[in-house]
Amino acid sequence: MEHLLTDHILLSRIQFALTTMFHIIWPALTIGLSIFIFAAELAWVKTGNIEWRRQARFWTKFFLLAFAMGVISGVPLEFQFGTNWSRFSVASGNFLGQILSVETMSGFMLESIFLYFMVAGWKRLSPGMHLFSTGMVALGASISAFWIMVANSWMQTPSGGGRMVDGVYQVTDRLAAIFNPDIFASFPHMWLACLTSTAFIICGVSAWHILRHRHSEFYLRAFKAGVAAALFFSLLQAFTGDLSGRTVARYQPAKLAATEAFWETNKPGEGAAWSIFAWPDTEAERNYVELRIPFVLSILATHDPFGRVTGLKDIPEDERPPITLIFYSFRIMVFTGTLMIIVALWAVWTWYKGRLTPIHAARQRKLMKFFIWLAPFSIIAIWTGWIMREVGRQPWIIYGLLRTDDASSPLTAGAVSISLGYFALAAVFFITLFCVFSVRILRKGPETDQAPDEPESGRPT
Amino acid sequence: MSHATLIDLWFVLTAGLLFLHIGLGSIDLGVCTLSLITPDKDSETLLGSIDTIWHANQTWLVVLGGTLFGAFPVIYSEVLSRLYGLVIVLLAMLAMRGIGLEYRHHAANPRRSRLFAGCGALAAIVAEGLILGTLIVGAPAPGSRLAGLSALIRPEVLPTVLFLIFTALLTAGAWLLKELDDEHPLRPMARRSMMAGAVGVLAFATYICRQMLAAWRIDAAELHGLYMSLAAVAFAALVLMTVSMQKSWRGSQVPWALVVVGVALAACAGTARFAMQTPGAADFAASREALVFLTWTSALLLPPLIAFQIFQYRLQRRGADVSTTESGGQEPSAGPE
Repeated sequence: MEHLLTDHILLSRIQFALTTMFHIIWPALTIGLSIFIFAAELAWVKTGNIEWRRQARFWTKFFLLAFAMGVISGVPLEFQFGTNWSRFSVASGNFLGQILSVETMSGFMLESIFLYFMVAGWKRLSPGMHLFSTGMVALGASISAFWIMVANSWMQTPSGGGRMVDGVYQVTDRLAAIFNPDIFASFPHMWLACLTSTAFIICGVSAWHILRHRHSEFYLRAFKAGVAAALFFSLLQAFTGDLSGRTVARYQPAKLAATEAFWETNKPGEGAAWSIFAWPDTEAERNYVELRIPFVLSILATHDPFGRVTGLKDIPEDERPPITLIFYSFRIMVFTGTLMIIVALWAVWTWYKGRLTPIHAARQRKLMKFFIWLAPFSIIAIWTGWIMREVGRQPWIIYGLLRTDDASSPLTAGAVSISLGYFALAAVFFITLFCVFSVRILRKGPETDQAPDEPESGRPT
Repeated sequence: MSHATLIDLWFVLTAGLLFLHIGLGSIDLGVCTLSLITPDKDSETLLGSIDTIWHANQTWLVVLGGTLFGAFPVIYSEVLSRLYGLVIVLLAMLAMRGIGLEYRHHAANPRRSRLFAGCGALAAIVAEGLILGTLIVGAPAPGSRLAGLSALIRPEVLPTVLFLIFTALLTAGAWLLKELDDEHPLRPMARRSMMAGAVGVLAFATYICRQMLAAWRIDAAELHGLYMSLAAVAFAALVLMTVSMQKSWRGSQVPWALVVVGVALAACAGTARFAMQTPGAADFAASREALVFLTWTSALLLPPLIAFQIFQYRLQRRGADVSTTESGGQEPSAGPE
């Protein structure tokens, strides 16, 4: 506890983790919702079914709340590189600075400007132009995510140079730095995580209303669209997760060993076992108790039942990440993801059997309750995935090149404690505010979304 | 292009982004601040006029931060870490302003939300003024116990705070003159705000330049040509701003207000650039290759973004009432529910 109060680096790490965990909810929602709204609007433009227009306009209100939160919580993140991690900013300034600059110019700005047309342009723009604006918002959100993932993946697998001169990383091949080995796995994995979690949130919110017989037809349409997206994206997510795992195995063996609490490198001809459950003892370098499945870790990491997996004992002690936290974070993510696939399959089966009609849907209580619970858990899955990713990179901030302890700003623990306290209080306050206002919007339902002169049916003109 | 030329180019571009952030951002910060001194029924009209533009305006701060990191990583890290306390206060106040502004439509007590937006905006202007003022008069040593908050008791940073307050009054006044009907009772206040703002901006910009010349021991004669040219532009902008208030003119005052702000910032930035012309200036900047990359990407991305934002303002000008009538109280341009 004393360490926590006096170590400004630890406090800065907690602050960055807290602000990132708070912020990541909103980009995940805005990326997913913008694509959902675009798809609904496209369906309206193509089919002329006014119900899709209502869907698009209704979820836009929810999108706006999330977007405002994203803007408010995103600004502190960008500035924390300078405020709390000034030595890291200098060290990475020849690459990371430009990437963040391009991210704000290409993605974030595109999203912010076209948001105006998307919100205020329902009557001022033609349906085609409005659809284009919504598409630009969706594109901006995804481009923004791409550049952020470039920055983060470069910290995981730094490429395009490799030398530190006077504490500054020298980039000689910028394309190689952008398309570093980790980006091919991490960007699709994160992008799909945003789409999957949004699909489950739409389903969860819709299920809650269906169970209470509120605006059942409207929410049932959203629920079905969400279920189709949820199944498709969560299945794809399993593939990108596998790709991510193999990338970690290849480039960050210490992270893999710590994530699996795996101590002894497997000998040739022996497969590495995967622990479903374990309680690691870092002093004794072994697991107190564990439940293992033979060969599975080798298969997961290398696609070969006898593939070699480096154990923690072969990694210097001062280069090992914390084990227990990432061991359980990873498992929460994987079990939640698996549950999401199962529940999405169950929903599709129920739909196929004709039980997702306005009359029958509310009777599917267990299914609906699963979706309600999976809505927050889809965000928890993103959080735990990021905990594994970031804590697993420790003790490095730029993997293999710059240690976290050497990257902080010369701050006092008192100053960081106060700012951390503020960020914690602000996060609680903002999330409460978001929940209160979201519930108000969702309870009111779609009717309030309809303009007085909105047509009841017909193709857009 | 040589490294030195790229550094010059990026100094000018960063100053340009500072202008976009201060010039456009002060419109909504100023409108929020003015809402504090207007009756409840009118303050909603004021805040409603910036509902759809504040996201994009605040994004220029993010672009400025990203560009400073990209082009001058040492300055970015030194400034933010030395002025830690002030930066955190600025971020907190911007968040408070955003929450008040965005969520007032759904709040049970919109008055409280409007108060949030107004107080947050005013405090954000003051915090930003303290940050910029401290940079002019000298930032504290790294790791200081007060984390930069000592600026609160330094009278020499006050001119910069006042400069930003007058900038907000100027741009917000010009914006409201454009947005409000000819007979609206708030028009006289908007006109007074704009004129007082213009005088204050030019007066305090002059004072800040004198502060910079003294602090960095520069002979004013060296910059005589720059100051005279800018003074001529400022005079022309003031004349046009005054003329544009005639009913027969039918034009917006916003561009002229932005020219006045631009002139003031150009004078300050020109003085700062003159002071930075030392052989070690390259140590603050990113490498040549990094700046080349940044130049190409910005040349590709910034012009369409600025064009879209101009289009956004033109669309807003053409029919500010449309979104209000169509949204039925649901979208940002609408009043409280």
